[in-house]
Amino acid sequence: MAPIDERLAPLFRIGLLTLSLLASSFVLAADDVAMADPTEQDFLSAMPVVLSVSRLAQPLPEASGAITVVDREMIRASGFHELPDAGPRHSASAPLIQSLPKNFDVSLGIYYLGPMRWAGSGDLIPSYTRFDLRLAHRFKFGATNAEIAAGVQNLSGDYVDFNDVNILSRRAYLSVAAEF
Amino acid sequence: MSLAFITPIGSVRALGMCVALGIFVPSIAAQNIAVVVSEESSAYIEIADGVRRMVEDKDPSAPKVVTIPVRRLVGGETDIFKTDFYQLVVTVGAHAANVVAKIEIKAPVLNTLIPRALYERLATHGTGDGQNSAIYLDQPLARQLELARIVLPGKSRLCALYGSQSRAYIEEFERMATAKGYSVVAEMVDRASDLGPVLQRSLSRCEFLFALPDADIFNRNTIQQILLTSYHSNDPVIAFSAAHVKSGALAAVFTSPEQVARHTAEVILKLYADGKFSLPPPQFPLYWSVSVNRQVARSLGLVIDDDKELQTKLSKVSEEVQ
Repeated sequence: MAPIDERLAPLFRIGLLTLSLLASSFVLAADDVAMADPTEQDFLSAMPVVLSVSRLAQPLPEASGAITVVDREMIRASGFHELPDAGPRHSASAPLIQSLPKNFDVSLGIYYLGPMRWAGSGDLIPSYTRFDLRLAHRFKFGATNAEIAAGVQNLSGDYVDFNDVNILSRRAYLSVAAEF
Repeated sequence: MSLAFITPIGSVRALGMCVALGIFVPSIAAQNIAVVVSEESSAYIEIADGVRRMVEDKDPSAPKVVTIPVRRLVGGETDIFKTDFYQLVVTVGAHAANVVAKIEIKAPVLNTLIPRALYERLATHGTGDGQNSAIYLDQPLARQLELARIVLPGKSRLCALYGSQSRAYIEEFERMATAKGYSVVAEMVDRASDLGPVLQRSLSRCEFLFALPDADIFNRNTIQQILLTSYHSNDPVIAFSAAHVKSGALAAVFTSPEQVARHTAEVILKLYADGKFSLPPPQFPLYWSVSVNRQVARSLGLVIDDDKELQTKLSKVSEEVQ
C-alpha cells in the first residue's frame, strides 16, 4: 500500500496544480505594468485566497486513507454496461479572465463535455460545448469591498444535460456581492 | 516648555506677563497636533484614535490631537497650516502624505503608514532637517531576511523579483543577502507578460521566493500566478504583508495599524519629553508581528515554530541586526 501511495502522491499534486495553472495563466492584468506610486494598500488590502486547503497536497502521513473500491458487482448493480459509460471520455474547461481598467474584469468560460451516460434516471447525453460570459466591477462601499457582476450563461444556446428532457437555455443574471 | 500647553487665554495672559517681565518667548504657544488621515475607514481611524489616546493618556499636559480627513485639505481648508495653530502634522497613508507634501505647512510633518519608496520620492528635499520625517510601513529587508532564515533554515538560494518600485533597493538587498550567506537570483520584471517566464526561469534556480515590496509585481492580479508557480516548484514565498500569507505565502513580518499608532505616539511623546521639536530621521517600524500559513507549511513538509516562538527568535536577531 504505502509504496504505491508514495508514487502517486506527487502526480496527484501536479495534476491539481496543472489545472489551477491553466486557469491562472490568463489572469494577468494589462500587458504593461502601471508605473504607479506605492501606497499602504499594497501592504494592507486583502488578496484572494490562492492556496486554499483543497488546493494543497496533503502529506501522506496525514492522509486519512479512505479508499472506495469499485468492483465488478458494483458496476453491474449500477446498470452500466462498461466502465467508460460512467463518465465522459473527454472533458475540458478554459476560463479566460482579463482585468480591465477602473476595476473591471471580463471573463469567458468555455466548457466541453464529451458524450456520456448518466447514472440513475439519466440518459445517454450527446457532447456539448457551452460558453459563459461575465463582466464584473469591484468597488468600495464605504469600507466594504463590493462587486457587481452581470453575466450570460450558455451563449451558444440550448444544451441537454443529465436526461433528454433537461434542456438548459441561455440565461442572464446580475449579482451583487460584499465582503465582510 | 509648559507655556506651550496652557489654554489660549492662559497663554495670551502668560505671554503678556513674559513680555512685561522682559522674558524672551521662543515660540507662541501652539497647542495642537493634526493627524491627517487618507480615508475615514477603520485602519486610518484606528491609527488616529490610537495616537490621540496614547499621547493624551501618557502626558495629560500634551497638546490636543485633532483628526482631520484629507478631503478637507483637498477641499481648500489649508490656511490654518500656514499658522502656528498646529505644532506637528502627522499624515496617515499615501494620499494624506501626497496632499500635505503639496501645501504650505509651518509645522514639522511626520508621515506614517507610508511605503519607503513613496516617502523617498516625496521627500527629495526637506528631509533630515528635523522638519520632515517618516515611519515606514515596510519592514527593514534585514528583518524579513532573518525571518526567512528562521522559518527556512538551511535554504540559502533565494529568488527576488524586482520592478519599478523596488529597483532602487535591489542592489542594497543583494549586498545584504550575500553578506548573510545567501546566493541571490535577482530578476527584473518590467512588463506583466514577463512575469510567468521570469518566475519559471528563476524559481528553477533557487529554494524560496523573497518578496520585495513592489505592487507592480505583487498585486491582486498576479498573486495567484506567483503563489501557484512557486508552490508548484516547491519554493515557499517569504512575503511582506499578512494578506499574502492568508493568500498562500509561507510567512511574513508586518506591522499592524495598532502598532503604527504605538510607534507614532512614542515618537511624539519623545519630542515633548526632549523639549526639542526636531523630528528623528525616517525609520522602520519598531513594532511588528509574524504570520505563518500553517497549511502551506504542512503541505510543503516544513516544521515551523509557533508564532510566539518565532516572534521571540526574530526579536533577538532583529536587536542584534539593529
